[in-house]
Amino acid sequence: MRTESAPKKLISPADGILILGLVFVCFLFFVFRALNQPDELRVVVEKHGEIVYEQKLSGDTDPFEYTVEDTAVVISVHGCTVSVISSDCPDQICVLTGTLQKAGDTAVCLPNQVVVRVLGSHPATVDGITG
Amino acid sequence: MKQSIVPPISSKTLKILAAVLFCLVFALAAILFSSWVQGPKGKQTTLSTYSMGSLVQQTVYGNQAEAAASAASFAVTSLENQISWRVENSDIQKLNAASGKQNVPLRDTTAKLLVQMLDVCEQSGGAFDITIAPLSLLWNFDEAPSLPNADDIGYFKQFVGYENVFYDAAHQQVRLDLENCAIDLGAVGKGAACDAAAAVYREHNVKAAVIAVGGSIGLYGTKPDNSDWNIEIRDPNKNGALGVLHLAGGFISTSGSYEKFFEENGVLYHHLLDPSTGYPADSGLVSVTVVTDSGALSDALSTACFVLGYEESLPLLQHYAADAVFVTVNNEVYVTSGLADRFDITAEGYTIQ
Amino acid sequence: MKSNYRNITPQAAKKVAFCGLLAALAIVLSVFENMLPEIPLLPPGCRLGLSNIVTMFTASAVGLPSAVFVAVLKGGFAFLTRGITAGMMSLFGGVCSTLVMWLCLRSKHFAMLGVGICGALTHNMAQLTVACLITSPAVIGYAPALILFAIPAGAVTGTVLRFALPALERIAHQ
Repeated sequence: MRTESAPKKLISPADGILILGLVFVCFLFFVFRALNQPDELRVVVEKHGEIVYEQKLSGDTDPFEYTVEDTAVVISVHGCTVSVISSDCPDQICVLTGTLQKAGDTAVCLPNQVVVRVLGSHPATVDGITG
Repeated sequence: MKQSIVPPISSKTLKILAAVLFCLVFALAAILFSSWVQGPKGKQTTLSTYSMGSLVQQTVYGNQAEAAASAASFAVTSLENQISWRVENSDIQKLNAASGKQNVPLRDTTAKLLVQMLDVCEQSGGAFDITIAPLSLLWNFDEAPSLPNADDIGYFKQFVGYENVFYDAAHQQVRLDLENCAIDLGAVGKGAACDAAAAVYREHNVKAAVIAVGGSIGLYGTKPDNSDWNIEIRDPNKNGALGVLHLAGGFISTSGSYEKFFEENGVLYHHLLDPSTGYPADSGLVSVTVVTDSGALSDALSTACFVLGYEESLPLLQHYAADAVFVTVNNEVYVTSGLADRFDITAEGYTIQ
Repeated sequence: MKSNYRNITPQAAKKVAFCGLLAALAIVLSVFENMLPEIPLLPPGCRLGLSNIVTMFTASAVGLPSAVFVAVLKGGFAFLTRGITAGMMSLFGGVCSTLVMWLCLRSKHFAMLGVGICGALTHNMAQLTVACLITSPAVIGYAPALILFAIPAGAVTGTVLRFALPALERIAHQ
């Protein structure tokens, strides 16, 4: 047991090191978090609500086309942009949506229940779109 | 008490204890750190389903997120089966079939919705009218829109009128007093679906959730980072956003002439009909977005406000303590006071009033 | 008749009574700090840790087993009044921080501020671990904030005790 005759001081060098160390650890946390945000775009295709296709988008890849399985919906991936180029739906809204390039851009084909989205690593800034 | 029976601990034991503790703390830190790297977003689930002819998208935050999202999706489909005139044996289909004849009993949800909608019909002076079905079927915007001839419009217009709906509150029954009168809740179904989802979220003690049924949006709770919900309003004239609403909560609906329209002989005909004329409303607006505390109400009000135009909508919105963003044909944007510092316009070419 | 019970010394009885008192004090402090409004930016349920003052005192003036006992009682009270989650958090936080504080008190290197900070830090980290296991790994996002907060909170408890300790010990040993 600690003897009563030598009461503890209020602060000591070790305390100082402890505080500095903790602050430094926190600093590392924040630095790590800030650095760990690569700005990568990817295209995600959902059918009936489930993801059936996912692909990173980068400027280097050659343009290619992908047909959503069991449907006649064809998307074209060109660099960092995606567009629906053909579909068998009557209204062709998905095709008319045009080019998807920013995170959050979406094309929907209701009759085929297909959704094509462009997503980024950053969390979406918009929670919903009305209109 | 200071005369402890326990012998003093030797410094060697102390060092060992310290080393063990250090290792424990280090292990703890390692576990915490590795879990932390996964990201501080909190338990979150997204679910996309299809109902009411639209994409239903949910993002739910909370421990029971997945269960709540599935339950909400089910609730939306159940609601559709109850209120859609297209669905066999739905309350509304039975009601329309019995027009001019007898009372039809309604289930609780349908009855509540009907009463709420009849109130909007009355407060809007008929600008919003749930009995507009005969005219909407004539114009047929959902499948093959075409310009009906004036005689047909005149003929079917006589069956439109919410005053023909007789509601017996005591027995929860409704009667359409005029034969061929019909109710179409399609204009408010999406908002009502958002209300149904909110009820499910409440039951599941969800922390926060956002549901979008087509363009009708329902917000529930507070996001994990305590920030406002950001809701983008589509630009009525071009691709992209008009601006962003920063809301603490509420239900949002938009009615826009650009959503469904066709052109004939150089004239644009859109799907938001004025019940008093039988023709698309000509109120000087291209879109109106309403924010209020009920989904069905926001749907109804957005339709009513579009028909009424900016000036005449203001008393209606005030009555329901709702707010709105209006876009006119002259690219002017009006924002009611409740949303004044909550709407950021981002598109070019518009003047805020 | 020979008694089958060991005689309970007045000292032992005093000790038990004193520990009960300390436990009650720890509980009162934790109830009080729970009534204070929540601190923004920190996870809900994060408190000042005033009860650390009591466990720190018990660890230094009475002994480690008694201090752990007080921490366990505090956790038990939290369990009875606020439910199993709060109980687990309080128990683990309290016991771990008591152990660490006792070690720090014995160490030559750490003074009262260091003891308080180590106690607050351990309390927070232990609670975070429990929260992580009970809910989801995502709560780890709070770690930097909790670490930073432990510094002033621990400094406060350390300072309070540094100045109160001599007086309290005099009272305790009368």
